[in-house]
Amino acid sequence: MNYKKRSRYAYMYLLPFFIVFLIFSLFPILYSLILSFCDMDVLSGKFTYVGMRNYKRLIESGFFFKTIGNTILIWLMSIIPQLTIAFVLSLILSNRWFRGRMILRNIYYFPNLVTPVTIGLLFGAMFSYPGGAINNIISALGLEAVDFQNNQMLARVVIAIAICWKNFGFNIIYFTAGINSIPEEVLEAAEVDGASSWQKITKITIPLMKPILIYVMVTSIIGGLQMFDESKLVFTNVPGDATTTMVKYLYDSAFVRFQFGYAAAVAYGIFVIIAIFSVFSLIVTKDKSDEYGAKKTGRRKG
Amino acid sequence: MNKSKKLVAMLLGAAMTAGTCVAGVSAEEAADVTGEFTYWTYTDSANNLVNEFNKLYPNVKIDLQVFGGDEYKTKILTALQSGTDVPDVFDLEENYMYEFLDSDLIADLSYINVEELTADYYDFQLAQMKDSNGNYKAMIFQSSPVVLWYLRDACEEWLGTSDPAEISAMLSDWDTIIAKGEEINEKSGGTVKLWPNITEMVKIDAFSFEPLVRDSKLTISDDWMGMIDNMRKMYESSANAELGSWSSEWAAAWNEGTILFRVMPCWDFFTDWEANTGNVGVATPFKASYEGATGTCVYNNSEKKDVAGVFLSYLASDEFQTVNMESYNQVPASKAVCDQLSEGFTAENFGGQNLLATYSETCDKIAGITPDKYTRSTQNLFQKVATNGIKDGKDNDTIIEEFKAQLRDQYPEVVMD
Repeated sequence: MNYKKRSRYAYMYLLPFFIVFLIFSLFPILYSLILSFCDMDVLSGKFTYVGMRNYKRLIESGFFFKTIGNTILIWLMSIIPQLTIAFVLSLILSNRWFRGRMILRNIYYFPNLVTPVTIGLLFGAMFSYPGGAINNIISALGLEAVDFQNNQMLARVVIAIAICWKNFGFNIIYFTAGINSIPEEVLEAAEVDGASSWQKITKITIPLMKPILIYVMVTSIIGGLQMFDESKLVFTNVPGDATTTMVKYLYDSAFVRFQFGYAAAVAYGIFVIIAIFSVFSLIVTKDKSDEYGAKKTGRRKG
Repeated sequence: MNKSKKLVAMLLGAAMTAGTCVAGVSAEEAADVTGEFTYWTYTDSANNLVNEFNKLYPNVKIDLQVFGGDEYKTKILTALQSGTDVPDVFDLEENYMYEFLDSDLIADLSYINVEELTADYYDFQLAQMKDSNGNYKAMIFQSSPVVLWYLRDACEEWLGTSDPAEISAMLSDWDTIIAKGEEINEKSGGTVKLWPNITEMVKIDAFSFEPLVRDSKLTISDDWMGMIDNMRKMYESSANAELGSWSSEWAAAWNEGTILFRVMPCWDFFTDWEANTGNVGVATPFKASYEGATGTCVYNNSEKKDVAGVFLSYLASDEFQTVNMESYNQVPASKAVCDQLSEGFTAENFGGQNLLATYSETCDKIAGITPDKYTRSTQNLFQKVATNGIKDGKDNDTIIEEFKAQLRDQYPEVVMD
């Protein structure tokens, strides 16, 4: 088969992907970009060009910036324990001597299969005041029941717990795969050299898992900053709209107030924020040393 | 023109000229009407409408499609925007109906002589059916008045009566309600509260006031300011339980009789009927309002407007609204039907109360204000900001500033002073 013929086959195999990409990804992206410069009539779907008005409104909207703060706060409160718990558990579950690790891995993954609506309602009921399950435990301990919904920070914490509970099992899968991919010889060599368990984790496991860690970090940023279901469903009315996230704001603009043009501008605002965070995380986690541990200078020595 | 088309035209013509209702035709005539149309809705109860309609009009085929949750709103919106696969008849829910009604895509119901068909309707229902230009665009056939729900034994114990009329007379304004609640709180040693939370005060007051936004202009009348004062008084009083509406604690406390009242429409579903059958009562509040409504609309470009018109005319008929109440417990939109059915009506679950008389009295009191897209959303926003502001100890000016800031963010086109 000559080169040209092979290329033709390659293009044919790639075609389905490009068709799907054009219809379901590129077209909506361009459509919403155009929409963000327009107002759209709810029923006729007619666009009216308004220039930068939607973006101006977005920048002047103190409420949108407040939702950015809410999102980041909830995300930080969920991502830090989520990744820590997932990493520690995957270290434990990667030990060969640990019996029942497969069962536990599956159990930890189960919350990820629960629908967000169920999780929202479940946590809302568990943390309700004064008679939810958590408050019943608090009362049984002789303490005063806590009104989680009417305390801005506590309401955020509850949502962060819900997200953490849902996702930590998913990250265990990634981390376990990362740990299992580390060559056995490297760890054995370290053991022969007298490395402690802590040293093996910090000097071998974590550095060799860096690609996985970066992947999990970036996907967590993208997914986490798009949080919506839990913030909408756990508590319906939190003082100061403390649990309203960026995507909830987008949803309300588009599907409650039918301001589709503005909602498209909000979507691009969210895109920019997520892009900034993703780039930032890539810069922070960029490998600054070569394979021998020396600092990269940016220029190869001759 | 074939026979069935002639009959549909004749039925509509009869309705338009004589103001008679289409369902008033004989079974033979109705059986001669043939046709089919598509009907989209978000509620399973539409099956009841279709079944009842088909009992009278067996040869009209309705392709009923029910879509749950938010999916429905998006689906109907997309269909109308694209103009393809648009249903001939569709339901709209109150909280977004007024975003849609001004559109030319929704038929003006004057073609079925809607004013005659709904001549006996409650005023507030007629107001709800109109767009902002006063044209009838949606057919409403059931009412959801907001009433005070109570347990008879609890009210006997703490108020000395379980009679709905006496209770209504006893709770004549907010000051009286607060005073009575404080009295009960003291007598019960703090175990019984009269009022569930300050949010539910808005449900009683809000539809009696001039809407906050009219013609895209914000006007906060003294009524609204007075409402914040009353909410604050209630919040600071011992009459208030401050249990979140629809929460499990709120429902449990009411079912146990430790809060005496909750403000709910007639379709309440928080009563523990096993424990409280025959012990429940409802009373008309001193101001009246409604919660939720379904408007049935006809697509203006539909080729089946005639037969769709027969369907909507049937929904407005006394016959259907009677069946809808008797078989499915839906309060009629027609005052004449409600009053007629209320004669000698008793509800065993409600201790033999004449529920329809109470509902009719409440519906009569509801102000006939045609909502627009701002009406319910600004009420809800005001309720939220006022409730949170009061809980945070903010004064009225700060609450109003916060309300304006949020309103400006949501609807920048609204003119404010």
